[in-house]
Amino acid sequence: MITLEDVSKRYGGLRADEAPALDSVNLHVDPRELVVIVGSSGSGKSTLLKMITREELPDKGRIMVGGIDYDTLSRKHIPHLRRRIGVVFQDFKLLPDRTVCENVAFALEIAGHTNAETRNIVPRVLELVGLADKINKLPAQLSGGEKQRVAIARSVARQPRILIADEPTGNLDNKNTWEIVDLVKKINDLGTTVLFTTHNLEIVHRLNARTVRIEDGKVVADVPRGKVVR
Amino acid sequence: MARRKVKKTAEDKRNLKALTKTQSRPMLQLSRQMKYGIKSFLRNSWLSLAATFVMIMALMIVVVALISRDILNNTLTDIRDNLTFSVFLEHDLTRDRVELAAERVRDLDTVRTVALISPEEAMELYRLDPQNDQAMIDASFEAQNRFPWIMHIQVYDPQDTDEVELFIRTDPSVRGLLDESRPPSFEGEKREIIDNIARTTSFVERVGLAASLLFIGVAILIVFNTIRMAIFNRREEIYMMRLVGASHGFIRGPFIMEAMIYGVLAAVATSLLAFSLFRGLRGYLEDYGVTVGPTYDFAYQYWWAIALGLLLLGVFIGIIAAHLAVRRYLKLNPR
Repeated sequence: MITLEDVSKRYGGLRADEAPALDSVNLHVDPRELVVIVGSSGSGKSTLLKMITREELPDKGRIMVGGIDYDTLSRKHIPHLRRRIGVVFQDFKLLPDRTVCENVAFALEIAGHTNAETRNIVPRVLELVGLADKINKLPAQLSGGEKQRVAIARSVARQPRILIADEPTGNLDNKNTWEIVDLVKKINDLGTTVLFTTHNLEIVHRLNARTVRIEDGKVVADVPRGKVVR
Repeated sequence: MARRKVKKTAEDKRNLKALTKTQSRPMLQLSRQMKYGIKSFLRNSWLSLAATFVMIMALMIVVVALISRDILNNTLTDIRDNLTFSVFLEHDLTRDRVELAAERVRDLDTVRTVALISPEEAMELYRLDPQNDQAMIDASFEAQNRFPWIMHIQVYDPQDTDEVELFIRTDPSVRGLLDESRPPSFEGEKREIIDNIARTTSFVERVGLAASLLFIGVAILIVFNTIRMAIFNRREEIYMMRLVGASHGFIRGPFIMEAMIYGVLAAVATSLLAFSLFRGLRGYLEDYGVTVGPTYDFAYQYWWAIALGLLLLGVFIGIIAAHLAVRRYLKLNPR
């Protein structure tokens, strides 16, 4: 599903004093797999995810997602590629002046779904994340966990093949964290490939998934599911 | 570092084709861009109002410049058309000789018309003029009826009076008929007025054009900055739009729509304002001898064309400004 071959990225061009954000990273993720990426702040986790969403270009190496070689992509292909990838952030990135319903519908409208399709999908996906009763609330009227569930609903409404969750629990308390972790697992069980970044080992244990550790832009460990991550 | 160039294999091409194989709904997408644009216009109502106001000023300057130019040109034409000068001939000439002289003058390319007034007709006109006192007429003129023949000459251009005057003073068939006691009136004062109006028209044209271009430029800049502020306010939304798969065209659409709304509202407001002002000022201008009629009639007959022109200009300003602002943003944030 996702393959990175010898991918390197250095911000600020090729200046020698600048540490690489990614340094010859090799990674393969199978379809329907859940992979947890761990590492300290600045280790290169987010850069890796941005490579997959094509927000960043590698200086070196090859990226393939869903059979698409990123080197063959032109600008017109990128919106189509992104419609196949859902993204969830630590800070939710909800539109504050739109209701829960409108925030979720927004993604569907941009992807070109008809109004009838949108009216059909939005309640179902909000049901999935347990927010069917909050459909007309504004983000400011929701708790942190609820906001993140809206963000997840927005990401999965288009039924993407891949869900990228960039520290989605970073701003949440324990109770909400476990709710989000369980929701992500549920989405993975439904067949979506998931990349989940965190630096919380408790979450890693709870997810019980393959874990990749990145430090200083390098993959330093790739622990299969079922093995203990330290 | 330069990206490596990859030659697409048949499989790559197949995959890319499958990637972009989605049902295209251009009208639906266009309607959504319009909806987002209208919402953004309403959300940033104060900014939108300021941008619309500046656009009204720009369109107003253009309208005023065009109307002023037309009014001044009409006034000038009016005065030129009514400009005649008179040549006085001896009292006791036969009609044939005077007609012959008139024919010679009429043959000049610069002369538009020549009208003859006999001494009898001149006296009658004098008698009928209410400004003249009857006792004076009786005492001074009637006894002798020494009115001259009068040749009223109308030229195409006031500048040509010099040429006509030279002809009259030198041509043998005319020169000998002149009444030496009454020099021809070459309307020196009127000519000066006409020259002044011509100079003013030319000045108004130049200033009007410069002011119009300047204000169109200012309007583009203001709308450009308004859209940039709207983009800044909505950068998170744009970021999310991109991540959920919006194309550059889809991102650009709502901003262009928003700027087009400024243009449409400004055009409607300018049309109403300009027509009301023109209507109100008409009588006032006519009291000063300004020829307003033809411009006023034209404006009222073709109000829809003027309003449409303003609409197109306003929309054009909006599109250019928004396009530049979004292009700049997308250039700085290409992914």
